[in-house]
Amino acid sequence: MYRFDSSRELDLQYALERIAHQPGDARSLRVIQRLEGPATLIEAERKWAGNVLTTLASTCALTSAVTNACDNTVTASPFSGGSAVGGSFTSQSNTSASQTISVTFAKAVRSVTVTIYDADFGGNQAVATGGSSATFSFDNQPGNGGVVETQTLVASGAGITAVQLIPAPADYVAYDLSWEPNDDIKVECLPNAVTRGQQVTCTASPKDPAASLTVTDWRFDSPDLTGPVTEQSTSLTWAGTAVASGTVTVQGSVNGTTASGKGNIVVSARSWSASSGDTVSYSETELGQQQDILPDHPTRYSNLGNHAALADAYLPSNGYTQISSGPNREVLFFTKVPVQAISQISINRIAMAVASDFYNLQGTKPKNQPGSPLPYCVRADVPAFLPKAINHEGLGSPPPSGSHAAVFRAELNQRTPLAVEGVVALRDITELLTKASAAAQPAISTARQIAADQDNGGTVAPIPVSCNFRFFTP
Amino acid sequence: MTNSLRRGEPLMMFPRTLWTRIARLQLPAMLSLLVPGCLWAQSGSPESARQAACERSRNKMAARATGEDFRRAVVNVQSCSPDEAAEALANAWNSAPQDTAALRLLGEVGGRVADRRVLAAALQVAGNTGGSLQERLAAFRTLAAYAVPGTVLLYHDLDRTNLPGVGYVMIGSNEHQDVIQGSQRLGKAEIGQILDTFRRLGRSDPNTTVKAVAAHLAERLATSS
Repeated sequence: MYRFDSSRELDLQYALERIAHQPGDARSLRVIQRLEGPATLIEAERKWAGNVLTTLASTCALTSAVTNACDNTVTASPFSGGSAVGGSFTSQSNTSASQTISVTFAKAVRSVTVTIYDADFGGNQAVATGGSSATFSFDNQPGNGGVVETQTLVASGAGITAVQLIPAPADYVAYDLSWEPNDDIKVECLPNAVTRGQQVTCTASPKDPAASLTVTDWRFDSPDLTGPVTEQSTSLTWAGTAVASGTVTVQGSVNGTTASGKGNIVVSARSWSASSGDTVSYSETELGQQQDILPDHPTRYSNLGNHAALADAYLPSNGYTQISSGPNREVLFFTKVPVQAISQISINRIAMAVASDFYNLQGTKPKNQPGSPLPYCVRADVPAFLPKAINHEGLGSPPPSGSHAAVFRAELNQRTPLAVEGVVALRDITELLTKASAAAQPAISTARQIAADQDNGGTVAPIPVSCNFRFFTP
Repeated sequence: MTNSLRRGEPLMMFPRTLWTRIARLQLPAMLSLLVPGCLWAQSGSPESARQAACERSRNKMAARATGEDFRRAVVNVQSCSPDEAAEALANAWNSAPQDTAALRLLGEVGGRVADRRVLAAALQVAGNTGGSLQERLAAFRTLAAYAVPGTVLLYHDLDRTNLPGVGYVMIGSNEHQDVIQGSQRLGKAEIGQILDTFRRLGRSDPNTTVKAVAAHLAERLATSS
């Protein structure tokens, strides 16, 4: 409904237009109403107008009441997404007269670009704090979308920290708003790709070589850390041991204007070699008679020997360190593979001794076993089995090739270093250990599986035998 | 020693079908029944020595023997029938030994005799906040082996404080995952009960070491079971 100042003849034209703010942007449509004639509009109520959402391609654009983008937090109030006349936001959801929108920047920016939609009356302005102002043109034709105008507010001094979008009285307008960060600082971290544990130096410099640069803060963010590393410093360099990849941000000013810059640290894995020994902390132990659980009267072959494969992450003494300076300051990382492993071997020496009950259970002469291609073992086969069991389980230093212990050790040495290589933690040793444990588990599990008997899906060959033992029957 | 040293199966290298068939026959037992008076069933025979060793083990455990006597008894009770072994082990938890070596063996052997009586005893000890740390962690050995057969635990740094679970216990697996089934077999419900117990203790046990170990076991065993 429109109310005019007098009864005159008017032309009303309608058009359906495709909105394309940016090349390739053709996702929105709008209805255009054009009023032409000598009457002056007093009041307008345009319930027919629905919201039309537009999306700006710019990444540094206001998209919500609180927008986090381009290393800045931008707050707009009041804010209503979409509008009836194009643009990405207005001050309210209905089409009554717009209100002033206050836009504030957590970090000062170099410029702010505002596009106004459907400026009908005189008085639409954008006023920057710390920068220039702009007044928008108008056509005095409500609802026709005739004035779509873009103006850029430029910073002065320390940069723009806020913008007031002031509408003309009784006008309903919508806006797009984007900003240009003060990224006049160049940050370069060298070497470009650093091997974990090596030194990296990040240097800040003005993009304009003739400009003067002052640095106030450094910050490092990494997805591998629970929080940022920050440092208040006026130094133009930030250097130290690098163990985590991430982004370095510097804050400061260029020629007195607040500015920032970003650079990247890319950390690559160390290579761990087992050629000169174990990469993991490996040990082997034979459980003595007081510790093993093999009964004196074996009821099955597995009572004659066993290999228990134990492994998990640990904090190796002198094997982890905390970085003292630079982008990874206070970050903990490992300098040794944080995996310890133990092959716990049990050999039933009591049962396999000469004159044991198990020995005496066997016959003295060879005897065929019904249904089996192999005969029963004789007593002499019992002590002869002992070295075979030892060899199969892997007792020895180094463990005999192809044994459970040898395969377990070799697989751990090969698999776990890469699995835990990138484990880091910010200040928290407990977090470092638990992360290492979680990271190591798949490799440990695979090592155990490969070190299993062939019958259990592993690679360890069975003990070659030519007879079958008799066992006790509970 | 699987294939060669595998539960109840003969050690040889010939086709698995035949090997499995023979294993099922449990020849020594069959022969002792079919051939009365055969050598190893007679008095003074190796088999009677086993029976005597079994009786000795049960008696020593019942009499709450100490030291090496108790340790060998716990190990050799595996040579008894599954029911006898389960009963002896369950009763042993009611008056658990004091020395850590004996507790370790009691926990580990318990984990190889799968029976609800042993489970109930181990759960009681594990959840007893008035019990000693060593006793409760020993019961964890049995429970862990029930949840994931073959699991073996190695405790370390128990004198240190405020470590995460992985700082106190290393988890491993026995290559030869022997389990003797008792007459009161464990089912999925019991496995769930064990994991729930670890979770509960891991959340709220007043002993921080027990709490850390239980939480770690709950997480690791749940992904393996």
